[in-house]
Amino acid sequence: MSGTVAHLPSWIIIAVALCYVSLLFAIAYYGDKRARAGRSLVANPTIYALSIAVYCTAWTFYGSVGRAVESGFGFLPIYLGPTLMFALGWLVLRKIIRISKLHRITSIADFISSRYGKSHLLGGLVTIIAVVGIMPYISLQLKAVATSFDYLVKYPDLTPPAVAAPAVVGDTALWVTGLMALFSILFGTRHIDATEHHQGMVAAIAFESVVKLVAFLAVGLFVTFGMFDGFGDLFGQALARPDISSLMTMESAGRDWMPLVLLAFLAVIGLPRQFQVTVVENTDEQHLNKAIWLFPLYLLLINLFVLPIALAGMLVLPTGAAGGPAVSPDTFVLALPMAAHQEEIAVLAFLGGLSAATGMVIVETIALSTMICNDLVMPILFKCAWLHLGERRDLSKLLLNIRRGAIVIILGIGYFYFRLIGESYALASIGLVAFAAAAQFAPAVLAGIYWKHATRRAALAGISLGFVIWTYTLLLPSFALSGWLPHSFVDHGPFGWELLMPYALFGLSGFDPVPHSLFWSLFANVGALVMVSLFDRQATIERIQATLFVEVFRQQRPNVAAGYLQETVQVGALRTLAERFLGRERTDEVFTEYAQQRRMLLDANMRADGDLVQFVERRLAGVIGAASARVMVASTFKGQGFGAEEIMQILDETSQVLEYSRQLEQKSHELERATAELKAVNARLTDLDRMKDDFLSTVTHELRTPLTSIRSFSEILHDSPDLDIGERQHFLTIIIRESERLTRLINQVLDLTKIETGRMKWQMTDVDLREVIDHAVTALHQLFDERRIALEVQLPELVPAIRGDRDQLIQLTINLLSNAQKFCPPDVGRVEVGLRIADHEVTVSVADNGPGIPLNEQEAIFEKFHQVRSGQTGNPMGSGLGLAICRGIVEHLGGRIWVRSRPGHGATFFFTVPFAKA
Amino acid sequence: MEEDNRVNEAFLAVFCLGLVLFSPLLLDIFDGPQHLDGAASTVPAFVFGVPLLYFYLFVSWAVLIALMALVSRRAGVASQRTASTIGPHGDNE
Amino acid sequence: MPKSILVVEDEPNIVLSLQFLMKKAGFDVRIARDGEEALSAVEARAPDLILLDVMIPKRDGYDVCQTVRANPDWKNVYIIMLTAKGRDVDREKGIALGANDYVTKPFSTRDLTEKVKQILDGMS
Repeated sequence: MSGTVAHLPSWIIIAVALCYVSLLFAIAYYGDKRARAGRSLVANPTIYALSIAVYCTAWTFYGSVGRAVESGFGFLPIYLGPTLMFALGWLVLRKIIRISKLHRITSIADFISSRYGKSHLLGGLVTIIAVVGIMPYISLQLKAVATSFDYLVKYPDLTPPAVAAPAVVGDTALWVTGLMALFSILFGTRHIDATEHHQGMVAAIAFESVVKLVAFLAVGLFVTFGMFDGFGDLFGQALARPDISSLMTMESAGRDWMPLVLLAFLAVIGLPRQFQVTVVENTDEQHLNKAIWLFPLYLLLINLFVLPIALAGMLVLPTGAAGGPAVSPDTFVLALPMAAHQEEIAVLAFLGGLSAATGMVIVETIALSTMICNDLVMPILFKCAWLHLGERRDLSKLLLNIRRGAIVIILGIGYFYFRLIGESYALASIGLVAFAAAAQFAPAVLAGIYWKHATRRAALAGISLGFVIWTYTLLLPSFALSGWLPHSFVDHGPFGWELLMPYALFGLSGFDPVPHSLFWSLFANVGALVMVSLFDRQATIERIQATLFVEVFRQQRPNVAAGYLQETVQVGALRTLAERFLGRERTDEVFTEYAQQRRMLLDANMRADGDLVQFVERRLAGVIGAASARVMVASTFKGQGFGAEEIMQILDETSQVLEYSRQLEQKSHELERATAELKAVNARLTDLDRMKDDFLSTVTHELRTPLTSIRSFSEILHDSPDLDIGERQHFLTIIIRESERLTRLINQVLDLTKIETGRMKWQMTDVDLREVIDHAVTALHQLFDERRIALEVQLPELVPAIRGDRDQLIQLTINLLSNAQKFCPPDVGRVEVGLRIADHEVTVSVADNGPGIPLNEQEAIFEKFHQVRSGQTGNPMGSGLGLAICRGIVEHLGGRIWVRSRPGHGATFFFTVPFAKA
Repeated sequence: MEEDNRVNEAFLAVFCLGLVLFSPLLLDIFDGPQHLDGAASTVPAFVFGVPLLYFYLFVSWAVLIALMALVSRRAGVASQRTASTIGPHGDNE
Repeated sequence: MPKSILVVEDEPNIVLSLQFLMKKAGFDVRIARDGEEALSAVEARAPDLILLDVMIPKRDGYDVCQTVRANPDWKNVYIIMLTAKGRDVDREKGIALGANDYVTKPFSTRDLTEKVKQILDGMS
């Protein structure tokens, strides 16, 4: 069949392409259907690894050969870099995946925003950079499809003259763009929960990876073994051509080799589409183990024939006047089978290129639309109060429409960019330019997962600076080359300042533009990140997120209530919130899932615990991004931010360092407090000591006084045998009286001490005060009679029972009566006992007609050892403990004791005791 | 954990090996004799009928991938063990 | 002429015992029951020796001691402080204020009598 068909009609190519795209739709549809049925097609490590191969775009498929023609092995660093990154996959990628799953990360913008304190600003910045940096790359894909189609249509003409851009309507690229938009909308924005994976899309992408690999290998094998007699023949012929033999050495690749390895190494984690397939679409962390070697293997295979195809093209295809190829090296993959009249292989190659381009466009568009929606549009909409977005019930439709709109706009801009710039500037370097933009995210990501002290402002500074330098050294020059800026901008710098020449900034010359730009942008990016972090302080939320990210492997499970005060939100409120974004059905599922996992029932009025708050916030994060989710959840709390104290508590192991330092701080506070307390206690003890000393000294004095008499008279009796009987009797009586006084005193001291120290055993019963007073009066009757003092008792008939210790109450009454008796003058003395009943207490009064008590002593007499001395003799009238004991008893029973007196007019003592409770 | 650390170290070693294998210094060695006759361009060395550099790059790349496959196999065992403490999927909270 | 002693004390029983003891030893004994009484007694006729209780009404023993010592006429009056407070501070305070001796209650009647005898005998 080969070589007989004169040309390939465009309808055949279109039909094949349409069939292919239809197949993609079918696969995606089937993948989604399987996913809904719970039998996931993509939960498979091989499919996961193949989907990561979306890394290989049309730029790989066609461009690698072009690059090889230009710089020999210079195409390889782009694939060695990712290989090295995947060698670290188990350390770096696994960590990113684990973090992203725990925090429901939806994109690289979300990841960076979330790590640095859920910052809207950072998320927005990353999104803008991604869109600006990647847009030309999307255009490149569209151009590749259009070019390859146009090229194939001209078959068998291998060197078609450059044609004017076709009318928009007839432009293949437009149709491709439209189909890609349709696909992305259908399979990229079907769900409302972005982290639920676009399984249909992933299945289609994996299929595309297979197609492009098979196509490229087919072309390679055909060229090597069909057009040549194997590698030896091909390489041998190339060696014989001095103008192309140098492509087989390091000569043309050498200088930029390592910078490009580094560039690809960083880009493979910074490119939004790679983040999408590697991290967001990952269904099982285990799958990474296979992808670690399978993806590099894929890269190896797809590069195996790049150099042979490039050499073959140089050897076989027509050369131009200057000795260079008239056929663009970027089309060798197509041109070689066409030159050999192998239409089937040519069409297969076209399909391979188509699959590479569409795969990239689809994933990149979905990733960017998610970023635009979650990290750019939604935060702005939330800030626009007039939209009342915070009050709308169902936002899930709005979210999907924003994403759909974003997809259309991205592809629209991509298409027009292609129309505008595509013909004027070599697209070949655009891939690398996009890589350099994406590489700006890598420092913030890597520092974010390994360095806890990297701060939000540092990330902002680093990314901004890197982006500015990227713009200046790559983007603006590309505009200049397209004629939008004067060409002198590139050649002589702005305004002729050669130091600022964009391709030789600050005199750094001798590098290609991309390595040159990479050096300066990364230098500024990393430098700012490190320096600002060193001099910056993190906010609490930043510190928490930093700890959660860096120590993700040390956490058994996510357990942080994100720093909300937990008591303040009800399950119902969270549910209402979730419904607005997830829709009612999904919300039901989510809450049911949560309840089943915890084996608990969720009631709308229940207080939502930290886990549930976290759970809902993560689900929302999957829809609207971490930063917005946080704002929304926070809005359900009544004005609460977060209490540092709570956060510290709930961050268990993750914040051990924080906790430790906090404890240290607290300890030092406690120490200060303890020291102050110790000082106070010491002062009080000194006081007490002095008081105790005074007390002891007074007690001693009171004890020694009777003791002195006793001892003196005993000795006198002992030493004076000649005393007459009357004197002897008198002295003995003194000894007895003083002994009694001593005994009484000792008892009183003991009683008082017992009362004061609470060791008194109170026999609490309901007591009739009439009986108590009678008892006391009877006991003292004789004493009153002896001194001829009148004692009058007037009591009401009925006295309510009071609660108290009967014996102590009798003691109290006796104390007061004997006190009164003591101060009354004999013969005319008169003591009256009264009792009044008030609302809730009984008041007993004991009045005498003695000398009375001066006003300034009326309070002091109840103190220990305060003695009122009789005016005439100055003799102490008692031990000085009686009234102190009285007060102790009354106060224990819940009453009061006081005296009312006018000097010269007697004194009346009152005490109250509350009623017994019925 | 210990198994984790050994896997980590193994991967780091593979990474370092990759850095060395793909470093321009080493590549220069396989680049063939330079400036033999004072000619401006390098004459590529050949082995088994293919350029030595081509052979070297792809073989060392393949070796590297083989090593990664080997280590990731052990990693699979290790991560399965850690995963069991987290749940069947890291996904499920 | 017998030596004269002023007993300053407010506890009647202790006064009684001291009076008994000093009279028995052959001294002339006068009694004062508070500080003011004591000072007027000294003014009326300075005794050879004062047995001065610290805890007495109106003006306490220290006050009396200080006042007596302030008058050079009475510098030869021997003052023995009697106190039931046995703390060192109290003793030092008494000595500092010019007391010649310090006796803690309860005292040995025999020792006190001996001491008083010695002092007053040595004076003559």
